[in-house]
Amino acid sequence: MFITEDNKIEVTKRQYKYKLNAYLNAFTAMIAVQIVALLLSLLGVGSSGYHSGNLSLSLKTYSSNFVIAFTMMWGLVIGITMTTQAYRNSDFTFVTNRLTSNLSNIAFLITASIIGGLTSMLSSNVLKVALVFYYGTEEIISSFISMGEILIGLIAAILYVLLLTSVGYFVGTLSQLHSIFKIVIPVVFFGLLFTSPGQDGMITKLFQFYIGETSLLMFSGKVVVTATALFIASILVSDQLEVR
Amino acid sequence: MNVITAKHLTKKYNTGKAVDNLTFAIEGKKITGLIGRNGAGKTTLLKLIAGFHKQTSGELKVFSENPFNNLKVSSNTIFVDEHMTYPESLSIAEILQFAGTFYENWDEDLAKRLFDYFGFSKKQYHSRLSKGMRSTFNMIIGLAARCPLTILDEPTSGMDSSVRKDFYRALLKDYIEFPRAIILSSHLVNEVEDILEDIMLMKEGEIRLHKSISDIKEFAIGLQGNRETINQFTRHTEVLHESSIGNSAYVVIEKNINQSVLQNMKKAGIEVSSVATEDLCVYLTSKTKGGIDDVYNRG
Repeated sequence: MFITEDNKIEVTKRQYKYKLNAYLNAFTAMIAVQIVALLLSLLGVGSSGYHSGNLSLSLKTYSSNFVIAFTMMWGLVIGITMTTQAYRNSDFTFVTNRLTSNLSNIAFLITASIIGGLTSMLSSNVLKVALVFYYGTEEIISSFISMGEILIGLIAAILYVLLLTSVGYFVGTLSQLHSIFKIVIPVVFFGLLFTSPGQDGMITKLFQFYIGETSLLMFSGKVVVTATALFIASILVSDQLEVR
Repeated sequence: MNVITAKHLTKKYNTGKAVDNLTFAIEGKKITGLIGRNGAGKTTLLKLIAGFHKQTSGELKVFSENPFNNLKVSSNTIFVDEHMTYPESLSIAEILQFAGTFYENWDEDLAKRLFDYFGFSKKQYHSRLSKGMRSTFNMIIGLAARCPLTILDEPTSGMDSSVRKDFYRALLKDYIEFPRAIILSSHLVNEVEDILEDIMLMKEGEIRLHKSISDIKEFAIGLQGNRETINQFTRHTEVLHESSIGNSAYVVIEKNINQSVLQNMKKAGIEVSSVATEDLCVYLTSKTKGGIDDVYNRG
């Protein structure tokens, strides 16, 4: 009368489909965040001027880095949100266990990272178009970007967002375990940011570990290993968590 | 075959034992009523069975497996209560559609007909429904899932009386059509009495009584008459309940007494009556023999 096998993969797939539909509003939020970032980018990220006799030159730099940074923050928030009680409980309304719930969350976060990275990378084109409308074609020097560079940028953007979702997911999972982490984690974070006066704090060094990496392959390796470790840690930590 | 077996099952929270050393078995294809007062441990027990919470000690088997974090148990169980949460961005029609993808025996036709009967419209959102409508919607999911183990934790909260009646009738019809293990927790015995086969009565984390409904009807008798006279007879038996006004007293005791004693009681002018299931449940789960009267009896 009852189903005897427990098909983890099948249940994970169903949960994943369910989540893609249910949490579509996460992508609405992402679009809003990216639009804000684009508007901020329109102000330019840097400017310089030269004066010599009757020659005056002013240079303004535009880049869509803002969009990637904002999308990374969005990734962090989505990662945390997925671990909140309301989200977890709505998993357990239907068939699941902690493993399939986590796996489908992770699959959703990977999807979110791909979409987030892709759109933020492509947003530079939107920025260019907007600037052309504003200044006309004469005043713009656009750096030529090859297909290869776009691809590298794309992969890096996706990986940056993925890294942040995995951090968010792990932090969120710890907070679910005990509410004390909600205080401890920010304190530790800001504490380590400013630990050594005059020098870079541990957190800054940690950022450098990723940002300072010039080889795409090494960078990918670092991010994938970190994200995998954080996701696995989240699965292990939440495996005995009581729900509902 | 037993769907659920428990041996010395205990669940402790920081505040104390919610479920204390329970040993019982629940058969498949039966409607069992889990009756008890607020805070008796009903919900805790049900959450242990559903695998949401983990027992502190003892053994619990659902479909012969430990239910905590168990996918097989989850696939065969549905837990309906008023706290069921759904993603806020989905309309109730979409929720029904997704619910169907999770359960092997899901009856879509039934879900649709119940949906229409109770006057839901497809574009409504669960969070914006009234409390009673929410319970009704949860109940539709609980019935249509047709899980071999269906757990209904106070499913009727907030429903008006006509919906409640419809619900119990639907539950019974659905059970007859598709027999399965149903556990229904409630503190309103008189409402559910007619559809239950077994009653499990909980008090302060313990099982006070676990019997078929017909046995429970025969479990106790009420004695009405002169207090002194009754006391003579009940001196050596356990009194389940007593209340008195002046010289006259009403005392409830277990029925397993000698027939000759019963005859003597009647001769002595004591009226012997049967005890309604609802009243018996109240007596068995009350903290003191006299109930609220004891609070006011300061003398």
